[in-house]
Amino acid sequence: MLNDLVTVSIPKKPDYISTVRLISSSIANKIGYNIEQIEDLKVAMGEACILSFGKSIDEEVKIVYNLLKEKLEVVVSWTESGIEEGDETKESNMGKMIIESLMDEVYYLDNEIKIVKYIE
Amino acid sequence: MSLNTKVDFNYDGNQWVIKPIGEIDIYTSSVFKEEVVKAYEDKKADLVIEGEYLEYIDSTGLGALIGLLKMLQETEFKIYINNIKPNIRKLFDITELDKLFIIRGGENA
Repeated sequence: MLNDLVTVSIPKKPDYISTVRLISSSIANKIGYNIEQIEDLKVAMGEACILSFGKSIDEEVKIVYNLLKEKLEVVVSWTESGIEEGDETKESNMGKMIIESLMDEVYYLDNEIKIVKYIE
Repeated sequence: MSLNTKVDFNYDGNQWVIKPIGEIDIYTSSVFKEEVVKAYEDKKADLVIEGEYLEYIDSTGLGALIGLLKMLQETEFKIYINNIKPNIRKLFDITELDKLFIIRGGENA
């Protein structure tokens, strides 16, 4: 399970976020996370997708899972950002709090959100 | 799984009992909120959210609950959240919404 890449692209529609959560659960299970870690990744990925939807003006969002020996890195990316409605809304702040609390590392770049969770 | 919300008025307790079954997320949260607002406007009373069958909530779902809380802000009525699962309680704790809502029953995360 070293350096395996899984790439998914979803339409920027709310009903596809549950698809990302399912894929995230499956990957988390595959790399040996326990039940709580699986749930944490699922929740964090849901929030990362919601944040990306708020920023992206693309029709789709790309998600790349990088399965490494000691950690899982996931990058949610889009090609072009627009002005976020309501700028820093209360909900997006909650989303960030949730991701930051559940994951080990989070990076917010211009057109991507990268999250890292170590395998204990 | 999506969301099916049962909204019933309890005459004994004079309160709305709202039972979300499934997920309150970006896809379902606006409909959930509308259903509860409609009930409340029909008859003003306390709102009791029975969380036993709530499997998942995200930031938009939490936002919908905050919206309901604001709706009741200047009134005598309250929102109670009962018996939520530990994975959901965890999100209330992370976002510090556990301090805004009256959460009863269920295990602490």
